[in-house]
Amino acid sequence: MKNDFDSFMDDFFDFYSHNKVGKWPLVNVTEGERNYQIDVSLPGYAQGDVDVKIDKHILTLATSKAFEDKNKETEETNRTYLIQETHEIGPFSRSFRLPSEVDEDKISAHFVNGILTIIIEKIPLAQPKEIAIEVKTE
Amino acid sequence: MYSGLDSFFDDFFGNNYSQPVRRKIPKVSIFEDSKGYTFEVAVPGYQMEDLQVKIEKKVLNIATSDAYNKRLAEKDTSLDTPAENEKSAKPLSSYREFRRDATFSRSFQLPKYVDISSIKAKLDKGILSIAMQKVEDAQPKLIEIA
Repeated sequence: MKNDFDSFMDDFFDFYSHNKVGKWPLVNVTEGERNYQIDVSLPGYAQGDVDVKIDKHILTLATSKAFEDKNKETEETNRTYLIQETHEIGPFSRSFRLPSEVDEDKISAHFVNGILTIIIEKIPLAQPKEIAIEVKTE
Repeated sequence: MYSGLDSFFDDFFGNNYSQPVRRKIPKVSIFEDSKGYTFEVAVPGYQMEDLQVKIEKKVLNIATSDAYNKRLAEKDTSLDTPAENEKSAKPLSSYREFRRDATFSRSFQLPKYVDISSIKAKLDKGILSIAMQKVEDAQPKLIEIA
């Protein structure tokens, strides 16, 4: 059930996913006065496994080439899952349309304990200016 | 009416999964190989000191630690994850697909033939892995025919 915030964020972020399964990985987005913070839940992945790219205001989170190569090699040994609630560790790609008020050059990311945090600065709003009107005299 | 469904949800470990969904955090996967069992618990964002793994009378309990529970109770729980440089400020807006900063406790009944002394837990990349071996008697062995 969508609340007002969800629809609000959809307008700006316009979530769409290339992943056949659906929205993955899961994200939390927080808007602060000066920036947006995106937290991505990625248990089981390490820093080198994920690429973060921005192009034309579209932010893409995807597994890296290094991860895909590594993933092909490791065959699952004879594991029998009795219960599987966790998401399989595999390749993914998910993109977001960023709001126009962000500065694409001011982006930072760090990866700790399976959470990837991306912070994008907003373009500071121009201060309102008063324009003096000159009165021309004949 | 649900009795049929209940037994369907009873897994190998005798854990009943017809519980309401909100009890099933964090997400856990359990797999078995010839030597033993491994629990994988998805706990992104948690540090070692936030978690507690306990075994008592063949029941494995995975929970947030007392220290963590206390810390969380003292925080303003209406705050969603704030922007890094604005930890004290309330966010202008927030959108959440996953829950973090939650206390939890999940228990699992272990089968009879688990070697309790072999249980080992480790936390890596946001996944808590708990591995245990089957007692030797339970491992399949071929017996030579004289």
